Parts: sequence; C-alpha cells; structure tokens
Amino acid sequence: MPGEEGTRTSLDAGFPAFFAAHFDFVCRSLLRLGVREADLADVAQDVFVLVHRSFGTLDRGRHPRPWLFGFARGYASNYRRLGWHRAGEILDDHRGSSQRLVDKIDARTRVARGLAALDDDKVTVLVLHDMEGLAAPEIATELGVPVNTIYTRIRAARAAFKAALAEEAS
Amino acid sequence: MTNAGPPDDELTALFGEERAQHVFSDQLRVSVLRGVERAILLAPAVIVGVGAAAAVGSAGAAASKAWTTKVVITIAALSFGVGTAAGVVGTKVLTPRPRAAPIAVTSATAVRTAELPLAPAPPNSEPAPEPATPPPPTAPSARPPATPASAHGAEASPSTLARESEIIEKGRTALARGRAADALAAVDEHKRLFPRGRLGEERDELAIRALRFAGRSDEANARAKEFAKTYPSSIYLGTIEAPER
Repeated sequence: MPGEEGTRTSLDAGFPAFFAAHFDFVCRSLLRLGVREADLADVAQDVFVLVHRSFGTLDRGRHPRPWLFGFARGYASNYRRLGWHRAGEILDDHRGSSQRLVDKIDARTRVARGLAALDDDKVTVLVLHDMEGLAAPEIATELGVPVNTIYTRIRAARAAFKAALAEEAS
Repeated sequence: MTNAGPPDDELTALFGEERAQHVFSDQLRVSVLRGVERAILLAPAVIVGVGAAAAVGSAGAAASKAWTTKVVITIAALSFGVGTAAGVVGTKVLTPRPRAAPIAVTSATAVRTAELPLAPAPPNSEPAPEPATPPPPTAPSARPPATPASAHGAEASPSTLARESEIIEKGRTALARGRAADALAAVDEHKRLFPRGRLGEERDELAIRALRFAGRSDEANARAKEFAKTYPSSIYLGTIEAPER
C-alpha cells in the first residue's frame, strides 16, 4: 500500500478524464436498467459520487466498464426498488401505447423493457458483450467466472431477451 | 475468437438503433460533474448506502478518504475549465497559484448549495445564476469570463471535451465491432484535433488495443511500453499489456 502512494497523485488527476470517458456509458447503462430520463442527472450524479469514492481501489488490471456497470446496476436496482411507482408508471405508459403503435416505440424503450425481464447475470452479459462490445474474457475476469460460463450466459440472455420482446409485441 | 458469436441480425439491428438513440448533452455532463463535485465537498465522509457499494472493496474506505482532498482539487479545476461559476473564476484563474483559487470558489458554491433542501439541478437545465457571489475585488469586467482566451482554455471547454469524448467513443465502438482501421482513424483524428487533449490517455490506450487487434504486435508492444512510462498509474495498464488471453 505505501508503495502506491506516489502513483496516486496522477491517478487523482485522472478522475475528470475518467468521468468524461465513461459518462455516456454510465448514462446508457442507467437508462437500459430502467432509470427514467427525467431522473438521469440525479442518478448519474449519485453513481459517480460512489465511483469516485472507490476510484483509488479500481483494479488497473481490469477493464473499467464492467466495474462501472456494477455500480450502475446496484444503483438502478435500488432506484427501482425505492421508486417502483415511478418506474411502473413509465412501463405502463409504454405498454398502453405498444398495442396501438408498435412501430413508434423507440429502440431504447424496447431494449429497456426486454432487459427488465432478465435476471442480473443475463443483463450484465447482454449489455457488456452485445451492446458495448466488450470481450467475453474481460467480463469473465471481472465477474470471476470461467469464460465458458459467460458464453453460455450470452446465449441464454439472447434467447430470454428475444422471448421478452416477442411477448411484448404480442 | 468469440465463442458466442455476434447476436443475430434482429438483435444487431435493434442494438445498433438503440445505441444511436442515446445522446447526452454537454449540459447534462457539466451539471452532473458539478453535482458530484458538490456532493464530495459537502459530505466527504458519508457514504450513501446502496447496493452498488458491494462493488467497493473494503480496503477502499481508508484510501478514498485520504485522497478526497486531492480529487476535489482536480474536479474543481475541471469544472472551472468548463466554465461553471465563470464570473468569479474568470479573473482568479490567472493568479499565480491556480490550484488555490478553485477550492475557494467551489467551496462557496457548495456552501450555498448546502442551504437548499436536497435539490440537485434538474437535468438539461441551465445552471442557476449565482447572485450571492461577491464580485471579485479587482477589475471584474476587464475580462469577459466565458471567452476561451488561450488554446489551453479552448481544450478545456465542455464542448471540446464532449467532442474529444465523441471521437474516442467512436473509435472504441469501431474496435468493438472489429474495425481496427476505423479505430485507428479515430485515434489519428483525435491526435490531430486535440494534440494536448484531456483524453490523450484514452486515445493511446485505444491505439494500442487497435494495433494489437490488427495484428501489429510490435508496434502495439512498443507503444504499450511508452504508455506505461507516460502513465505509470493508468487504470488501463492491464488492458494494454495483457496479450490475447
């Protein structure tokens, strides 16, 4: 630990750039996880405050995005739990309109709704691998599971996601 | 390489469309950064308990507290450059000890905010005017605050930072889709437009991964070595050094 003190100064200086580099990713993740656009600024702020607090413990040997996604997911699940009525309103809004105007629903809404039907493990691999383009080994390292498990999850996640889409459309 | 293969056409199309619909404004970026800055200044020791804290190693608490101060300086300096509280900052930024000024200024902002009952700025709204701030003692109107007078100032403005981020993000997306040449083109574009940009570290990291992907291992290794020298504590060291697993 003491040996790292010298290097922390420059890591501190890295936080604003880190913020700039990953802000969009965190916002995308939060919206995908069911955070309302109207709440995005507040929630993103809270997430980055948490991120900042443990910025010094970020494992430099790892890709930062799975790590960041962990924050977004944890926070979003809290958000949904505590503000369920609000999230529910949105889903209901869209569900009502989906029966009439299937084509008009934007892709973001479809994705968020599909993801809402999946468990956390599937959401994580689908977002990080299929939507953000991270390699399976990177995800496996972060989650601490064998890479083959990740491949299995990816396939299962796609199937479950498509099933959810189909159900929405019907 | 990916055993799971790419998603099928339907999902690829949907994910591509969805990705394109996520557009975030500079205003949002700046207002969130200001909010983070405020939160850190107001309550450095209080951790909001949420599930996300699970991602935090237990060793983190002590360390993060130790550097709260330093990070605050950094963040203050950035939002400074981005032109928040521009009226006050405009004159002070040119004093001989630039690091001292942001702290004083931001603390003032934070204290004022503290009087508000938990009301973070609404998304996409202009930052509120700051009437409570006393005018700087000397020549307040001599220097228009929002003018990026120097090249340095220009590189720190919110729109250029967003532009930088956009280029890097474009490169990352290209690489994620297996288009190393496009990723390297984004690297060149960023280097040309922002030779001293804030995301130089991100650019170099992207370049190294793209070179590796393109099979140009010697170049990648040489640049990785250079990178480790330039950014000895970079969070990307692992991602650039590790060859294919």
